[in-house]
Amino acid sequence: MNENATSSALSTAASTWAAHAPTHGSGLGELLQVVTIGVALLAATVIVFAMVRGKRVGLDVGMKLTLLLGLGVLPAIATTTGLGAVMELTKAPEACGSCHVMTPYVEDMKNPASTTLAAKHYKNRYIPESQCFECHSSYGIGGILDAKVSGLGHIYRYLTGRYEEPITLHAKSYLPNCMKCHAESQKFLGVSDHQDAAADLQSGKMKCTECHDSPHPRPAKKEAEEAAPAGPETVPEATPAASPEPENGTKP
Amino acid sequence: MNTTSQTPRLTLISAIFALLGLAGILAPQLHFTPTMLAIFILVGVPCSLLGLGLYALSVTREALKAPVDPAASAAGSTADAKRG
Repeated sequence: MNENATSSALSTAASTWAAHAPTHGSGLGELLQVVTIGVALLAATVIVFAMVRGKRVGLDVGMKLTLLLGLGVLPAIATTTGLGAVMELTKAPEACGSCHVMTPYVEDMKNPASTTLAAKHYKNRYIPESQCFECHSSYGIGGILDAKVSGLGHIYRYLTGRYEEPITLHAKSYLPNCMKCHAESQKFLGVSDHQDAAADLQSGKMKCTECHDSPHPRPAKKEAEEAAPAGPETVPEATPAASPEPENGTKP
Repeated sequence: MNTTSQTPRLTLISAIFALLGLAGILAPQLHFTPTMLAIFILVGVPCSLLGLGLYALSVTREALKAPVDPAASAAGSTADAKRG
């Protein structure tokens, strides 16, 4: 109840300040979206005009060139800008949340009362935009392409129902994704535990989440599986006290 | 085979595919969901390309099968002969 009240007060305060903040988000994506809609509608108009006029007066050279514009040039522009818009808009958390299996994760990330790593990064604006994409894509063009190809696979599996809930993490290691921002951070370098664990982290023996909170809420089914008696090799869950991550602090 | 009646039909088919492709390209721009993204990839892009391809085929067929005008051909031959 108290948490809800705090959450509501924070949301109200956020909306008050949002009016004075520069617009974040996919500005380029929205621009490309508008261009695509305009060019596609123009192409459709040109095609219909050429077909109607061509039926009456026949397809002379002028009409053939008009048709080439409507069938070739304008659709090529619309496809290119449309592809660009799709590439940009799929970076937004709303795009990730549009698949119902992802909705709880996006909602948790946006919940100011949540203590997961994703929520901490979101509420403190460590990542100002494209939050899902920034953490789930690796560095450089290769990383972006890799994330986009994975996204295509996600769409395929989502639409064909070839997935099981709760969904599981496919990637073996997220260290490069974390290091994309944290490697150069003085705050990160200043923590002696990071230096002590560097070899284990780099070799994949250890994960960031062994000390830090889970990035996302853990599904009940998975938690029940992990709570069941397991072998001695089970990795112990990290305690929140071990996490040096600030709740509402400065960027690490 | 009557090519003069087939060529406009092929042009019409290419126009239909192009319009279908444009609708597919517009889909995710108007309503962004995984289904619309799939429509963009599976309908928008292929249909646009198919529309252009069919139109190119239509124009090529028309150009290849167009009847030769004897008068123009003769005039062209005379001009060539005069030029040497």
